Amino acid sequence: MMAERRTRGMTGSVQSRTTAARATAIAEQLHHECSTLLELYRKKESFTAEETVAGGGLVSVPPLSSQLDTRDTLWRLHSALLQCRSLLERAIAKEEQELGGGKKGDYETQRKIVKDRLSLLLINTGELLKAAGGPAVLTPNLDGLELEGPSTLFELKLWVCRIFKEVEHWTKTTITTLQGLPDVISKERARRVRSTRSARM
Amino acid sequence: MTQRLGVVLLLCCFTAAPPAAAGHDNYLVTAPHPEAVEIGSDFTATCMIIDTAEVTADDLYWNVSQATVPKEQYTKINRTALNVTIRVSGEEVEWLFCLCKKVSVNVVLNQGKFMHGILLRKGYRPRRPENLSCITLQEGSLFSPVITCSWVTGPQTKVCPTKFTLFLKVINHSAHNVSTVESSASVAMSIFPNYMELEIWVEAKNTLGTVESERLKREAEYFVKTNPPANIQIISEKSFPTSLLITWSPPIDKHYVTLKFEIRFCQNGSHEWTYVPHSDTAMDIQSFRLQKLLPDSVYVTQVRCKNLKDDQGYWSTWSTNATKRTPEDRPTGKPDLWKFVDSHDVGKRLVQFICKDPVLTNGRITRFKMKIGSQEWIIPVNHSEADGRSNHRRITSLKKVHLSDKKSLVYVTAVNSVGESAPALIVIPEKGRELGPVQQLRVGVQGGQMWLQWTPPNTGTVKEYVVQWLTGDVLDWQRENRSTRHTVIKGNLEKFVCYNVSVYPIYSGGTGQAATVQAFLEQSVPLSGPNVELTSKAGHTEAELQWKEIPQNHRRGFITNYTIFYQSGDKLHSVTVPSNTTSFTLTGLSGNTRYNTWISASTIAGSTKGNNHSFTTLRYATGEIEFIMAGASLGFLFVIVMTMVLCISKKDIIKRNFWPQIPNPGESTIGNWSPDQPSKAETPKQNCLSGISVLDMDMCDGKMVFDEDKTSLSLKKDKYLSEEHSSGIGGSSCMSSPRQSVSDSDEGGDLADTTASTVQYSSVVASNGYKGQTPSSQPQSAFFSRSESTQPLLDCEENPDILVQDGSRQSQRFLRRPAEEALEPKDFCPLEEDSELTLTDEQSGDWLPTAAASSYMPQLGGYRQQ
Repeated sequence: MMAERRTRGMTGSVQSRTTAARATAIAEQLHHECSTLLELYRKKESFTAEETVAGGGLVSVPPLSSQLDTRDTLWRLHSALLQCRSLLERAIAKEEQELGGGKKGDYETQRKIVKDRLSLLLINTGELLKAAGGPAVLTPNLDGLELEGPSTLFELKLWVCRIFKEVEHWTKTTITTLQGLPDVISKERARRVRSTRSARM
Repeated sequence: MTQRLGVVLLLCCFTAAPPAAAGHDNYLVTAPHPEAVEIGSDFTATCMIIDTAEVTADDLYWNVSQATVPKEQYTKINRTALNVTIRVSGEEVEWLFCLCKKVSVNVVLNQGKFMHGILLRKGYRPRRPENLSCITLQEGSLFSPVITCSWVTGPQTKVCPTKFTLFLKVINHSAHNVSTVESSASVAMSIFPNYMELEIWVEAKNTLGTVESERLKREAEYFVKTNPPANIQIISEKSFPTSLLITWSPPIDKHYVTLKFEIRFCQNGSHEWTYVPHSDTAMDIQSFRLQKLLPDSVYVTQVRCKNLKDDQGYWSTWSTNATKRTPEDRPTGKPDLWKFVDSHDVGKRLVQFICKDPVLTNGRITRFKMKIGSQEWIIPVNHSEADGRSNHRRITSLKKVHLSDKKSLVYVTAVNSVGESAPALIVIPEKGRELGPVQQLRVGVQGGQMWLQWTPPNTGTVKEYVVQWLTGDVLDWQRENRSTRHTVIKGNLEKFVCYNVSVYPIYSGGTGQAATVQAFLEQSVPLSGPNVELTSKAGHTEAELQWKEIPQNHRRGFITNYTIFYQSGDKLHSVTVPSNTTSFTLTGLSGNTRYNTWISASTIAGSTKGNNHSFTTLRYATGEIEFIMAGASLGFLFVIVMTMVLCISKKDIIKRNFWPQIPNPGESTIGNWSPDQPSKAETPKQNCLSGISVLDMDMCDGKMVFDEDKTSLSLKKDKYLSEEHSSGIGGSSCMSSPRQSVSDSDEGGDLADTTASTVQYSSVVASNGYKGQTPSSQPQSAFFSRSESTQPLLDCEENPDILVQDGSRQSQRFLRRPAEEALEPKDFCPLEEDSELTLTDEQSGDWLPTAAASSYMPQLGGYRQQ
């Protein structure tokens, strides 16, 4: 039984590391796709980089602190990504509502790719969070999100752009966070296993 | 136990739910009626009798496709139920009937009610799909969201098809499936889930069962196949003649998949790829430097890529060719120097030097440098670039040099745009001091290659061997090391061409003597046959044929023999002669016969017929005509000789016949002739001759007769004939009336006839002179002088009638000699003009002189016309 448990434990650790690596890879992929999306958007709307430089503030999460443990860090990250997805979905809906469906171009395709990729990333961060002892299902905190969007077209376009940048930002944050995470997870799991054993004993 | 349970269940089935057949008043009911039965399994059915006691289970039997199932396969359940078990085989749909024997009239009349059937739809239980594999191709800059899987299925039938369902599950995310009856299917997702774990499997299902394939649980990258690398570029750097730098672009961003690469290259025209070891390229790189290449060579390079992770993903297809030439370098190695002695210049060592480019020219050879002693030549070459790139080493004719009798060392170097090769050396030994050749040189052909075998010479230590092959003006050679005893000619030998193959031992002191043999790589029939012709005219029974050897380039093999065919009519004869024969005499031919002849030249591969030549033999053999001619000539000569002999022996007769003797009056002896002695030729009318005529010719007349030609004589005759005279010759003619008594030349025959009968000439001489015109009155006083001449009689003398008529005048005539005519008085001339000539032209020449020389005695008393 011990051997079986040890095997399970090792498998779980490897699994987590693999999930973290996978999440990192997807985050990198998403970041690349977000950059592409922003390029396409700027090209589409003839915006310059300066006009779209202002961003952030759409996602509301607790401030990053060195005192946050892995679970909280992952929770913060996951929550931010959930808000990003909600904002992105809203932006897509708003754009289609305001500008109509029409023919799907590269921008629309890329926008969908980013949204789908973000969903995949969320699955992995959710797995990591679950592995780190977080809640199994996390309901996104949509309080304070500007889901309605601005009323004027220009503001709408800037709002969409801000959302894209927010996604880009949080994917970058995810990459940074996850790159140092596997050891943390391992240690965290090891600590938790030890504490569980000692509690049983 | 199980079987009994089944039977009970079947019975329950029957009792609980009466079969539909019962509604149609069938007395037999079968069960079960499955959707499909598995091929290869045993199927058990039950037939039950209902609503009648007329028949029992013993009267039942089963048929499958009109064939009755043997009773051994029946199981009687009770009096009204009968089981049967059959092995399902074949794929066709069949009926299994339960039938009843005709045990009664009612059964016969209601046969339709005493039967029931089960439709057997046969099928295979689905087999587990094997070899499941899935692939996702690159689409644009991403992977396609469509993943296509294929698998290997088991057999299935039309009535029992298998449906396959492909399941794809993105772990913790989504699940997809698609159904098909084929052995492949594609699943479309919203996005290709890079780095996500997928679980893929196939479920095969039909009415006989369901089975699943193994489950592939892999990351999505496991199934990806990218496009080949793009923008392949090769950079050639002059300072690195043996290296090329390759660069490329990955087909997809590394955020989607990290790739490793594979590179292969080959020389242009070659299809043998050299692969760069994986360890050098199995990483995320975008350039690679190929090294240890040949200078000045064109290389073709290809690159492909695959997921960097081992055992994940598929190799892409190879990229398009990227071609580049390496920079030039100085020639590596030495030229292959060789020579041949121009044997046409006897007494001189005129040597032609030839060489092949170095094996690695490393560029285009622009010139050769040749050095003998202190003499040096530069031989520029202007080969096309294509020549230098071919596999065949180019042969350059360097220089033809008169060498001294001493040993000569010849050095040759090859030069290209970068530099000069190492020198090649050939040693020409002192004249007449060449060491011996190899021994027992043999040539053969095997596997389309010509091989040589020899034993080394025993005259010195051989450094190497040069194998040379020559045909026409084409010469090539190869070098073999000193231990070689058996080799294959590596050059491109042509079939059906005769090669002079030589092996030269190369000693340290120079080139040795050659051993040479002739050989064909492959022999064929000659291109043309020999042209045959006759050496001279055909004889009576023989004809000598000659022909020329087939030109070397038409032989296409060693001529083994010639076969001479000759045909007359339907008879065909043939003679085989050795290959060194160029003439042959056909014997035993028929005379005066036309022959067609031709010659076939044979090699081991077959024969080729030459031209047809026709000739006709002579009718007669040589000498036969001469023999006949000689015989005929001899015969003719014999006739001539015999004729001459006959002529000589019978000369007198012939002479007498052709040239009768003319009596010479001058030599005649006139005897006394008494009238009492009647002459036998004398006729009574002769007695009437009373006088003689005297022919008196004066000198001018005589002369005219002798000297004038025939024409003038003829004219003279006419003159004479113009007057009426008669000849006095013969003396017995009567001159009763004038008549023409001189014959023309046409009358010669008459004259001859006339002369055929000889008579005696006679003259009547009156001893006492003329006594008057009445001879009858004085007959007793005359006497006759008779000539013994056998001179033929003249024409008129043969006609007694004429004689009788002319007798009176003729009797007065006589002939006299011309010499005596001078003595005659001139008054006799008129008489002489009256003299009658009866000469032919031929006779005139002979006869007249004779007449002139006759010894008539002149009539002393003279004569006067009365």
